Amino acid sequence: MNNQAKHLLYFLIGIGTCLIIWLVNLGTGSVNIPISDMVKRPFGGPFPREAWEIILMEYRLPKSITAMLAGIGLSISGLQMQTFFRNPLAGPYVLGISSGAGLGVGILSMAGTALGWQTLGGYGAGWPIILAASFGSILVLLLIGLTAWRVRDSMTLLILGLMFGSIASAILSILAYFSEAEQLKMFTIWSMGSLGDTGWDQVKVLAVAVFVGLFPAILWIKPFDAMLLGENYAKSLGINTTHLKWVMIISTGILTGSITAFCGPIAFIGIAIPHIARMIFKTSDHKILFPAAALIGIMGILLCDSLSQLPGSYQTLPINAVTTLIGAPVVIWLIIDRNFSKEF
Amino acid sequence: MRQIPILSAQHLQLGYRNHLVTEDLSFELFEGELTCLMGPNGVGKSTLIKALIGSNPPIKGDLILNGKNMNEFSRKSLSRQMSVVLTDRITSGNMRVKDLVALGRLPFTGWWGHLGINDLMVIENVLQATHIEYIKDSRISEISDGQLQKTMIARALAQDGKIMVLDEPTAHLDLINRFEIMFLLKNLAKESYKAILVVTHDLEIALETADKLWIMSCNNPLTSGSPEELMISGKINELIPGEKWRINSNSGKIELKFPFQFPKIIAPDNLKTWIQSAIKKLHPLSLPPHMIIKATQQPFTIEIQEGPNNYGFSSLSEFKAYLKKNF
Amino acid sequence: MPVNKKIHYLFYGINFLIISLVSCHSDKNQKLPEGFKEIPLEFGQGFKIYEKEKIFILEIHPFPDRDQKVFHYLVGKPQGEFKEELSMENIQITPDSEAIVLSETTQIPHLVILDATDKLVAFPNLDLISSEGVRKKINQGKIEDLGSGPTLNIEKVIDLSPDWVMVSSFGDGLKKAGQLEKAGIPVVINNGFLESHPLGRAEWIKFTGVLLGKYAMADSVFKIIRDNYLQTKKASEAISEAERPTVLSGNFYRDIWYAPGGNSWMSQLIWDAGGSYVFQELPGRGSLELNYEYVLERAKEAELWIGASDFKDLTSMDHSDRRYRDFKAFQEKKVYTYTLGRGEKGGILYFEEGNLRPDWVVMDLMKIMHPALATEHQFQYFTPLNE
Repeated sequence: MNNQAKHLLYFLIGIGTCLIIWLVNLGTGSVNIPISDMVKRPFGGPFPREAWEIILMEYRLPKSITAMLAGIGLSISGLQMQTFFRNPLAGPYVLGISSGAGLGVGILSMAGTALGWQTLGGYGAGWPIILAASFGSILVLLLIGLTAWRVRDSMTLLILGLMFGSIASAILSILAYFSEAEQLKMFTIWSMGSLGDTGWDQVKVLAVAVFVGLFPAILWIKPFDAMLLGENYAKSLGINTTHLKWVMIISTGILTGSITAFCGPIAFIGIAIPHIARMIFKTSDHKILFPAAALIGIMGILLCDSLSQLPGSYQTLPINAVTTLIGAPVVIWLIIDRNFSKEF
Repeated sequence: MRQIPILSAQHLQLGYRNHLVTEDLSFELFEGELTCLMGPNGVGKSTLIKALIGSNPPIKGDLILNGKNMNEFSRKSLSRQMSVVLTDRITSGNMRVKDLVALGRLPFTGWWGHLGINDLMVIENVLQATHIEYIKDSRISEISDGQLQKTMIARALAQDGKIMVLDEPTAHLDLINRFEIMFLLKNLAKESYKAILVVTHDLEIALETADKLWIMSCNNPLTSGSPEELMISGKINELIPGEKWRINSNSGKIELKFPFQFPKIIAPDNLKTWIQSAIKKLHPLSLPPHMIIKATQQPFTIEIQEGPNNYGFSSLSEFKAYLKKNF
Repeated sequence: MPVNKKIHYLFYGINFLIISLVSCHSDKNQKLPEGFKEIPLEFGQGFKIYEKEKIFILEIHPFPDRDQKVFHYLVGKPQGEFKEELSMENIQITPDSEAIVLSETTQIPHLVILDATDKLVAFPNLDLISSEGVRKKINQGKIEDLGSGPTLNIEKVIDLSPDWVMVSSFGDGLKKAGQLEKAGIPVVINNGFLESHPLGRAEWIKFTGVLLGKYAMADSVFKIIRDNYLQTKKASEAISEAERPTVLSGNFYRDIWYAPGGNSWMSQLIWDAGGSYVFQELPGRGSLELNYEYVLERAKEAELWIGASDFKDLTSMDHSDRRYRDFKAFQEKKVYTYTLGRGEKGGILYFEEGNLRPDWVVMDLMKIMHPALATEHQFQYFTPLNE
């Protein structure tokens, strides 16, 4: 009981911290909007400048919600992968989803020119990219699915994912080799990831996708606990590991696929956050770890986004670089200091 | 009255896609008994276990569980009949002992995995039965291998099936823990009236604890019987293929089939045994038949009489060095 | 539009490495042979011309922020002792070359204006070329396609054995230069895209002129362009700060706004055409990566939007990113792009010719900002976007 009370306390503190980080995130950006004006805004106090209204309502707010959805989705995907593969270094991208999405975007932006879709592929934003990335990740998932039914153990699936990812990357580099600077630039920018490219329309779709993707994982939360003992024990506990494999492929496919489609690849959140959740909550119970990872995922990505805004300057750092710069040292520290394979 | 086996197999053919491991395997497993499955490496013990937990079903033949063919059981109902302790490593160091044991209740809980009063009671009972209540709040990463093995047994017990299958549960454990675990299993078989099947290579402990021994050897049908029967009939020697070794039907120890001819040793009984043991280890050695060895205990002296010559030594190692050098 | 800075930096390190490897024959401290006199340039900073008795030496030297070695090209046919003295350290190019290979579309108009299109024998990805004169030659099958990869097809070039090849130091041009030089084919480096003054870029016509043995012609062409440009500039100098319309430029790539830097070619053109560029004080000769918030705060009220990528119309622009609506210039349909002139294969003429014809570009811009000052001028490159 003591433990439950502690977890409850952690969650309450977590939600409080989350709210503060969220407000800080809304308050940071190139343009300095005074907190006092921001606080007045929900009570009908209009901003002194019209641009601020647009910046806050049409840019920072959808950006922060996108960030939260991405934080939840990537952390939960990573957690599922780590448990399923019983591998502390597994993450949302181990099945080659980001390479698949990248291939989709690459084909759109690079090969698109050759096929005369110049106006479609020339620019960053909008639905074509999202659709292309989705198709790419679905393609990789389908290939994995087509081969997965023959696969007996999780290790083979992991290797398959790596291989499909490599193939997608290889095709991508061939495309990149033959494309022009503009297309290359477009793809390079996509691969750096961005949270601020989603307007309200996109946020709505992403939110639906994330909730749909979370659904199977929550429904199968118990089998994930059994997977902690390994596939054989899980089977002996009456778990259908083949079903679980599909649940995991579908859930992480929808989560990671949609997030990658809308935001591009965002590294390390999916690998590092589940470990931090385990470390803080000191449990392996997925009923605790799922919400914990989601909460810490939100905090992590909002912090990374606030940092990437370089408050006060006119530039923004790419989010993928910031999450990597922060996430990689966390993983290194986990390996060296915490012996995380033991805590895993 | 003949007891009905809880699990039996007739003419089982086990193997993988292109590799047959066992041709014709038949056995019967009974409740209330601790059965030890023994046999040399590669004979198919692990394959049999995989067949039992359903991860590698038999190619031919049937496994009959509780009077029903095993493939009629769903995975879930099977999990309520049979639990396992495998050699797979447990990596989740964050888990507490009681959480791990609680996983055994998984087949009985709803989708959220909530533990009811009954589940909590079962967990409490198995923690007591396996004598690990005192570590129930420890993390897996903090406990010893012996404690972990007991925890895994407790988990299997919590699953509350009639059958428990354990794959080498005493490997990597120290002497005391090996005995403790096996005696624990023996008691559990009796007290909770379970059929417990243990794969082990530990002949001595198996002879001591098992109600039944199953001996699997290459190209022979499975031999089953109580350890005593097998010792008397000499069938126990099927465990040891080849011509070199055999099992001593008095001590249950493995020894050379054609043992060393010792010279005459005049010494108190306990000294005699260890002098013989020391000479045995020097094998091969060709000692002249007329050699006589004399020893006294307090103070320790040892001497060799070889015809007219006498050699005295003050320690066993001097004695051994002399033999090694001269014969 | 200025070439993207980011990709630039990507290749920058590689270039540096390669330059140090291939250019053992050129040295910063190298002394020019005696008697050569510099023909001073007016705006160009990336090269120098020296002359003695109809023999030219072209010198490519580094821009301040680029660590690059000096290259020398000797153009002419030196005789006797003179020849001995000169041939040692320099890459020799004959002024009456018959077959040449270019690698960037911006080099094409030089041939057109110097009436030397028949010398072009090959080019990578012919579809990119828009200039009419050259297109005709392509359609007649007189120009070989070197493939659409980002790099020259070395084997084909060696097979053609042209008199010289012109590459840009952008991308892996310099690496290819090393390979071609080993095969005995002279390679000249064109750094025109690095010039930040519009007339500096245009002045590279003299570089091509020397190479083709048409220096005098190139010089007179440049004078015309310069005079045209300076005339427009003079007209704009009279315009007061208050009368200058505020001009926004650039567009989104996802959520990053790419716009010309304050010291860039485009920034200079906007000023010389009588406008006031909103990002004037942000340093940078290439392009800037700006944050959306900053752009909105700074440019929401900008009167004109010049150079908004190659959108077809305002509707497609709106579809691509709804945030474009937030800008006043968009709402008032004051958005201009450079897509007026297109080649047969869809290439944008502005990208090809713009560097050489800043006089036309500046007049286009003036016609947008101050129509009354450019009534005679017909739009060459720019066009307003319709609904």
